[in-house]
Amino acid sequence: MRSFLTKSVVACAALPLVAAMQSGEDDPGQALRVGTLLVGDGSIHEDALLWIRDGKVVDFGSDLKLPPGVDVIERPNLTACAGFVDAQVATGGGNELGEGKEPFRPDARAVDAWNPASDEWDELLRAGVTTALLAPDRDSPVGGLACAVKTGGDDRIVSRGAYQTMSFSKSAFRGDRKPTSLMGALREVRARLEGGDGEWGVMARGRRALVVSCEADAEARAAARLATDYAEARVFVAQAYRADRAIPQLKKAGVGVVLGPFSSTVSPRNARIGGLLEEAGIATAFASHHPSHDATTARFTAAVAVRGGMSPATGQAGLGRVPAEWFGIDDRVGTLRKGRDADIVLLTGDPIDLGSRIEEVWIDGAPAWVREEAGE
Amino acid sequence: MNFIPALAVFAFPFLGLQEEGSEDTSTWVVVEGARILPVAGDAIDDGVLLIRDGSIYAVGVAGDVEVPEGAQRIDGTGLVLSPGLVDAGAYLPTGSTNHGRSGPGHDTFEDFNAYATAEQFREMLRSGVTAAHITPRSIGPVGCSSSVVKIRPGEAANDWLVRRGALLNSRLNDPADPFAPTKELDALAKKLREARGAREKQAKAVEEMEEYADEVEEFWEDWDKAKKKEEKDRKKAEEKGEEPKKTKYPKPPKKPKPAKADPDRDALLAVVEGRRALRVWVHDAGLIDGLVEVALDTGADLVLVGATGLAGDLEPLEGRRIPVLLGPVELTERSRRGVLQDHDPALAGRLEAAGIPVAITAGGDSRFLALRAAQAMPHGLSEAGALSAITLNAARAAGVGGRLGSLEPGKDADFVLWTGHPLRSGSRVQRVFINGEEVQL
Repeated sequence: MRSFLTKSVVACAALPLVAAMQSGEDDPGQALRVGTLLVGDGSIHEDALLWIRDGKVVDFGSDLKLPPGVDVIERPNLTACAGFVDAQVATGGGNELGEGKEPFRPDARAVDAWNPASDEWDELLRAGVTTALLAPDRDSPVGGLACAVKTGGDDRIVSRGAYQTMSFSKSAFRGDRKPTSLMGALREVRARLEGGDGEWGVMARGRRALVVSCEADAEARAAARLATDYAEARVFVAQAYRADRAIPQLKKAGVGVVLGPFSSTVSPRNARIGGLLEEAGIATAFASHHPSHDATTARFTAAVAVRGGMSPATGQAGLGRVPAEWFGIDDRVGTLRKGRDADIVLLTGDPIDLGSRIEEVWIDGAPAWVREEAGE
Repeated sequence: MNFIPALAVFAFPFLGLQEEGSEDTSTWVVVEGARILPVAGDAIDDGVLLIRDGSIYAVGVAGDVEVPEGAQRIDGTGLVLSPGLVDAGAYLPTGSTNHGRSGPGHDTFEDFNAYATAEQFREMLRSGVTAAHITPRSIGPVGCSSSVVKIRPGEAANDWLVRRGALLNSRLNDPADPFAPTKELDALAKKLREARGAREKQAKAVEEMEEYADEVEEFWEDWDKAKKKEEKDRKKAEEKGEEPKKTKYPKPPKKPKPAKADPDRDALLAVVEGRRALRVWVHDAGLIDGLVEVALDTGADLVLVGATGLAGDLEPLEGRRIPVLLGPVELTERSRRGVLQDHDPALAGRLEAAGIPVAITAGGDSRFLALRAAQAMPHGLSEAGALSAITLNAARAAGVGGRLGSLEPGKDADFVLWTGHPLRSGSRVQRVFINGEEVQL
């Protein structure tokens, strides 16, 4: 029901006039004037206006003509970009996101454990993350559906089934239930994919993205093999601290990589991993695993990738456009293209530079968090 | 031509200006054209860094620094030159992963493994880190000493050493009852006071030993006299046909207890005499208060690690230049949970504003050092403060501020050429130099 509505809004937004008629003539909306606008699709506009109405981006540009009555909010010293998309979190989940005794549970839904009231969401919001992929725990080979939720605003669920979660890392295997090994798990997974029942069929036909947590390089290679065998499936590897050792396999299988979280305790084997992935043409997104890691971790991980040779533009895409496209939510979030949700981060400089300070975070065209003045 | 007089001699060695009998055998290296961030001082566009025998000789604007002929020239055009980064809280490979039972006389350099995978060290160099403090693990209130090394894979361990026994380490856990006096701080204070007493005791022991030597000399003189007298008496008695008188020999002096070799005491002594700073991992504000008092009382110089309890009140540190080392835990919000719930990531900026030297460590992975420092900026640390936090202030927090961390004459020529400002994510390390020599990346 919702998705039909969304689609129609998107379709109409392509024609601003029609959209204006639909949403009522009385409210012409408002506009942000910013020093730099990073739309998220690679285009950059200096001294630009971003026109917002009904929580959506209507139009933008450096020489945008606004109709009379549009309120202009002046932020000429700030840079605006799309709210960040964090590809994997467990925020507010407590112990509710796991079911370790049940190794194959593709129809478990993280959205059922979603706790919008948790104050942990504010940490992500302050870090500029406006959409987070809440995923089931990585305690099983097949964990269930991740949902895409916003970190603020009123209309918070973006997608109930953004991707299927798998884990090939050690934490998914245990001695007291089967499978106890990666080999055993893949045997079961393949049998079920062949069967094609329910969620398994959805996965096999590539109708839903499949995100596989892999810490060791052998695990990443196993995920690449799975992607090769089920050519329609859309497979991505997450965590991927050792992805630098599986680059040829990942590239050949067309597998994207979710990097992170990188922190002082978990880090890539090779600091140049960002550059190596970009060189190989492997698309990359970033994840924080908040709250076991800090809410700023996705952005920090993007900075590590860029320091390691990835171009800043690719790094930024990994914080918005790329995961939004992978997980089928790019019609709403990930970029500030026309018709998308006006989820905006306003900061003092390039978002890839960690020294740039976030001043405001907007969700659906309204401020969801504003930095208090220094000195309180 | 206007030569700096001191350099004139080196500029014309071939003209036979050798009346002083010495040819200049120094090795000169010069980096030209780069934007120099000396850390101690403002940035210099089109700067010149002149190095003599591995030490910085001069830093300045092109044209102001006279470059001796024959100097090896390095082109830094379009690049940014910073001091090599210093990780004051690095965990380098050591034989021991638990220094809990190592006393102050033990030094982390003793079990440092310079021959671990070179790749690990090269990754540090590729991230611009040229020196690191060998941080001990799992220590108690009176832990072990620690050293600072340069990152020099392939060289013998001793060639890495910058300063052995740079710091004495301590860890004070939060008290269970904030109002009760803490045993750990008391234990530390007692050891330091004892060390002060030990210096006097040692001096007394040395004095007693010198007195004893005099007494021994006297004793032998007296003994000789007694011997002669005995001989004389014997002869006399023989002549007279009498029994000789019993001679009274002197008693040997009593040997005092010698001063014992005690490396633990020597390390503590170095602390109270200001030759080695005391590096304390501590969070609770009350403990920091008490610690500063103990330091004032015993004469120890402090370096604080963590110190999140200060978030509410910087008073204990006001007016004192006690370096504070912060890690990722202290620089981000996540740590608000649990024991650090009072913590505020704005601490770095507030310390800077109060004139307290702020150092930053990557807390485990030195490769992230520059990015960690950048992460402190949105919380109020200035760009200059963030750079100093991983160079000069980091060197200060590691007890090597006199040699490393800034580009000043006399300091070691450890520096990095970057494609841009070190704190910007897109900047990359281009070339790294240690002691004025380029290292392989």
